[in-house]
Amino acid sequence: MVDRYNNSRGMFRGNLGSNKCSDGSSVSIDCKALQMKLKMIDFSIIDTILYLDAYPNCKKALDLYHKLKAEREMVADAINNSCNMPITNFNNSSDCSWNWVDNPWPWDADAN
Amino acid sequence: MWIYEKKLEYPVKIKTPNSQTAQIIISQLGGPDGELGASMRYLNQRYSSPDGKITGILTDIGTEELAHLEIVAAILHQLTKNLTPEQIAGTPFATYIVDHPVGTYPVSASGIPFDMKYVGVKGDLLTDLNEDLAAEQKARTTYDNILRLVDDPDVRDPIKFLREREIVHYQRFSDAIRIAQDNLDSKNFYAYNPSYDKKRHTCK
Repeated sequence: MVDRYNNSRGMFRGNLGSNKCSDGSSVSIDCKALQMKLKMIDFSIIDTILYLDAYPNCKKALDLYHKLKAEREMVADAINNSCNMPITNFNNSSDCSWNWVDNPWPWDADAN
Repeated sequence: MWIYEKKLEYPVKIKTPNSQTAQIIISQLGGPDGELGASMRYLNQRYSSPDGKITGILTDIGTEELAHLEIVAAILHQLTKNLTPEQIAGTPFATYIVDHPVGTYPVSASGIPFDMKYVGVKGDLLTDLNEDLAAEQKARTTYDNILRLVDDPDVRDPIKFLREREIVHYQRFSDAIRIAQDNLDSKNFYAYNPSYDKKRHTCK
C-alpha cells in the first residue's frame, strides 16, 4: 500500500495530512541525512500537536503523537551520540568542548 | 527553530492587582528598552555574526529575552486580573484599559505602542555589540526605576531577578566584544569596520 502521508512528503507540502500515518524508514549514518530525518519527524510532531490542541481527546492522533515521539528520540539520540552538532543547548553530549557555538548555524547554506 | 517550554524562567505570584503598578511595568513589555525589543535586537543581529561564539551568545540571550517577555506579561496579567472599575477609574492606566482591557498589548509606560525603531541591527559586529551593551544598561536602568516606584514585594521579586539578568547579559556581551576585538587585524587600532564579514574566524 502506498503511504501518502509520510514525514518527507508532509513537510514539503506543509501539511502532514489527515491520515497521520508516518513511515519508519531506516536511520542513516550520514549526519546531514539524520538531521533531515529529524526535521521531517519534528514537522510531523508539530502538525500533530496543532491538531491535538484543538482535539485533545482524539485517541488516533494521540497514538500518532506517541509513535512520532519514540521515532524522534531514536533519531535525536543518534545525532547526539554520533554527530558533532548538538540539537539544543540543554542536551549537548560533547564532553571535550562546548560545540554548541561551532559554525555552521542553521541559516548557513552549509548547514542545509 | 524553537520549542516552547510550559514554565516561567522565574515564578510570578502576585496577590494584589494594581493598575498603577501595571502601567509602570508595561514598559518592559513594549517600551523602548523592553524585553520585546531586546529579543528582536539579538535574534535579528545574529545572522550576520561571523563568529560562532558570538552567534551563540546572541541566540541564547535573544532566546532568554523571550522568556523575560513572558515573565513581564505574567506580571502584567496578574496585576490587571480582577480589577474593579473603581480601581481603574482616575488612574493613568484607565486609557490603556479602554483600548486593551485585560489584554497584554506591548506599549511603553507613556502609552506608545512597541516600535522596531527602538532596535538597531546594522550587520557590523562591533556596531551591533556596542548597541547591545548600551541596551542592557538601558534595560537595567529601567528596572532600577521600576524598583524605585513599586513597593509590592510580589512584583519587586521577579523584577529584581530580571534586573540581575541584564547585568549578566552585559557581562556576556562584554566577553563577545572582547572576542570580536581579539580577532581584528592587528593594525586596526580603532576597532571599526573590520571587513569582518569577508572571512570566518575559527577558534584559537
